[in-house]
Amino acid sequence: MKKNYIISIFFIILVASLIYKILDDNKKVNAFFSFHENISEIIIINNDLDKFINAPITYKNFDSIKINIINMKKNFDSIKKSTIFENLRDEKIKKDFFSLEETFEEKIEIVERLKSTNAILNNSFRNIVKIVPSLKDSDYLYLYTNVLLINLNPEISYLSLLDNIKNLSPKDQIEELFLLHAKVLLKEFKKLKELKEQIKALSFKNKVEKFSEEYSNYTISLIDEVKVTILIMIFLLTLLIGVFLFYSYIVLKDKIELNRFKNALENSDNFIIVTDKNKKIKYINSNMLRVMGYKKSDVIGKDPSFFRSGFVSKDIYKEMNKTIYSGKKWVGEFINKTKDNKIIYEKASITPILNEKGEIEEFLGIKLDITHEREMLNSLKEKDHRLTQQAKLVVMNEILNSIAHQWRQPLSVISTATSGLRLNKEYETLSDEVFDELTKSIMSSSSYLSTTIDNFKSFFKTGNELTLFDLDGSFDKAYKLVEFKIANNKINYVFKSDKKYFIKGIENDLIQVFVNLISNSIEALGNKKEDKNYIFIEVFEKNNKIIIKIKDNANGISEKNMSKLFQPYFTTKHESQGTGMGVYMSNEIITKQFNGKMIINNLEYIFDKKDFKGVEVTIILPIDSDIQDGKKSEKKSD
Amino acid sequence: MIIYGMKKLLLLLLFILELFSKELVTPINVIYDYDERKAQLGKKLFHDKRLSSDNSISCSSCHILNNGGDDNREVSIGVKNRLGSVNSPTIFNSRFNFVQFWDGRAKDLTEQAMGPIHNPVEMDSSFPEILEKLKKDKYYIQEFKDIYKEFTKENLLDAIVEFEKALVTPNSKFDKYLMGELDILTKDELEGYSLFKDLGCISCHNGINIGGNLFQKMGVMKEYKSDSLGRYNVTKKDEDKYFFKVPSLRNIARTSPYFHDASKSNLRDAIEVMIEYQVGLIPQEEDIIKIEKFLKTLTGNLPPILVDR
Repeated sequence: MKKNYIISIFFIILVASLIYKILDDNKKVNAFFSFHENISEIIIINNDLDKFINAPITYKNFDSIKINIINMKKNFDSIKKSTIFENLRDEKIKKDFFSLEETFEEKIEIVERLKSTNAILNNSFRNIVKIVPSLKDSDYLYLYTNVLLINLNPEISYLSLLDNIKNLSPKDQIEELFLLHAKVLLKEFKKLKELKEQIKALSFKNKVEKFSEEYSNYTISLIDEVKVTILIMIFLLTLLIGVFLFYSYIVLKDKIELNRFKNALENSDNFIIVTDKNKKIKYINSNMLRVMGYKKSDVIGKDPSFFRSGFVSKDIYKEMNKTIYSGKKWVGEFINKTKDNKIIYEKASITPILNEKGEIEEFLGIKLDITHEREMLNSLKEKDHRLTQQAKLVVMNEILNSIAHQWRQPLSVISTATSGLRLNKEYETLSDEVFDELTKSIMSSSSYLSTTIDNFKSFFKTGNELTLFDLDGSFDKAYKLVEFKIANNKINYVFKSDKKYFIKGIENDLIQVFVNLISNSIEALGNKKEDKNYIFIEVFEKNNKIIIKIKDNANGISEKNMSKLFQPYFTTKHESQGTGMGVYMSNEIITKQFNGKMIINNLEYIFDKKDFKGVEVTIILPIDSDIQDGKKSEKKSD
Repeated sequence: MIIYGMKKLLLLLLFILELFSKELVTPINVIYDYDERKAQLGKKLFHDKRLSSDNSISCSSCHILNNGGDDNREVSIGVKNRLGSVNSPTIFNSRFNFVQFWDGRAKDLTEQAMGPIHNPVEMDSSFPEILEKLKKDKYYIQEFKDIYKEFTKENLLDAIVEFEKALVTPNSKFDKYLMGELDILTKDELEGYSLFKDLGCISCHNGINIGGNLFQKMGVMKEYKSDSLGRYNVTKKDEDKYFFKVPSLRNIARTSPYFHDASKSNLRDAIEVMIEYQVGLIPQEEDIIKIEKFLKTLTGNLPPILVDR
């Protein structure tokens, strides 16, 4: 900025001095020219004078000479009065000029005499002509002719003519008058000649011309000087304009860049907020204003704590202040509120801007509105929770079904026994043996009921805790839950495992997966209504991964449904039968909890010399080798 | 002889051609290029006797403006009744003269005006003295302040000169003739003009002022006895002895007596002297009368600046 001012000031000074110089020089040049004009006029007027001097003797209006002389003097005066003349550097020119003027004065003096002579000659010529006709004497006529021709014929001698006049003695008044005129004519002719000689000797014309040349040379040198200075100034000016333009270009470029930044800030989806060192808001971008619902004038000059919702602990603000006032960047999250008390989640970074001295000048806050993401996350969590619950319900359903199934037999035993007891009592046939037998069977059945309940209780006991468990056990538990269904559908359940694999995690979740997948196969096989239904389960290690394969021979899934399998709420089953959460939830659990992978595909294979077609689900789980080793001792305590 | 005769004829013809081909007298144009305010101020000064040492005379004492612009005395009377050496020339049309004074010692009116002020036999004063006196006059102080801003010697002279510039006498009968009213002159007056040219008077009396544009010797053809040496006083050269400024013939009928020495009191005698001494012919009575009649047509109107007030 300072540079800009300096350049501007230089520029103004230079332009001003250039203008002044040009005007001044222009004045000077004009003055030079008017000086020249004066000289030219002097030359012209002098020519006029010379014309008069050399003109034949005749009537003349001397006013013209008067005017010439006046004009000549005016020109001399105008030169003398000019500033150029006063400031002439060349003293010789001045001297020459004064000598010129002096010569002119001398010339004028002679010209004045010439005028008188001219008038006398003219007069005598005119009057001698009047006298001549009255003359009889040839001597007089001869004299007359010679006198007339004296200035045309150089051979005629002035002195001899004068002698002639002296020798003639006038006989009458006419002759006397004639001689008088002749004498005057001769005398004045002589005088005229002398005067002309004198004028010639002054050589005023030459002097003027010489002076004119001298002055021209002087002028040319001065004008050259003027030219050079003006050129230098123009060069400087051009240079300065160049510098100025270059500087302006840079400033403009910066400005454009700044504007670009400003636009970017202004239109950014981020919140940009700038405060002074006292945390008074200096700038706030329009997106933030829009989201927060304020006008610029509402917030400028206020403390940003103005936006606080109160949901963030004061310690966080304290820590933030401590960080930023120590000159460091702070990153964190805020929960603020809009004018309408809507909660806004912000991911914020606050950077102190330091000046050249390293002091804090202002703070720049760049914040991202993460409210939407937060809400999404919350809703996802909720959904997940719901899905988990639903999935659990499925398992619960299986459990209840299983309990119902397992209880049927003992309950009917109890029911039969009690009705037998009652019947025997009515018919009074209740012997001690029968009573013992029947109560024994009742007790045994209720004991069985109790055992099954305990079994299921233990199933839920582990709950949501991380435990170390073996995969085979988990399959056993899953099998127990669906055992009756397998039996009902006459399915051959073939389980094969090369060894025990230990896994750390929530066992129930994994069981849930197995129950889900096995249930799906059972459903599919149930619909097939064919003999020889199989469910194969295979557990083995490959490439340091646990591979679990669950396959059936229920003819597989259509390609159309295959692509939608992993979507939530998708089901191939009848609405009453499926929630559509099975495969989706299973996949979620395998991938997110157990860092595994789940693949489903149709498969054709041969078993027991028969061609089968069905779905194969492959679950790939990582092997945690530490657990595999350390678990043996643990297992025993299990 | 035949050759001489032919040459004589030829020359004669040339003279006649020259005579008709040039206008030797020009009329006063009715353009009065002067500053009215300055001229009015100058008029006041011109009539102000405080310009003389004893407050006895003003410029107008010797240049009486309602007549011929001179005092009709042989020589003028200055302060304390001192007498001048030459006849006061008319002030009218003096702006057209090529120099001022009989001997041409002043190159212009400004120089001229200083002459009488300092001349011991005229006003015998000085500018410091005059300015001291006039600065007591509120009128002058105001006027000079308005017109010139300053009341100085130069401005005082300038005002007087401006007034003198206004003193031209237009519309003489002869001016009207020159400007085209050809029948305004009587036969005698016309013949007078012809004689004026024919005799050669016009050799010296030409131009707008019919004179006043050259020096000429008094007594070209015949010695003229004079105490005053004329131009010699200025140049100190023998050849300039008895040369005087040829006076204007405008208003000549009103500016008697005539010549620098005021030797002739009537016009007729003056014409006779001129023919005899300057032209070099024997004066003829009828020519003199005609020329006199012609000269009387040169009397112009009073300058407008004098008529108005």
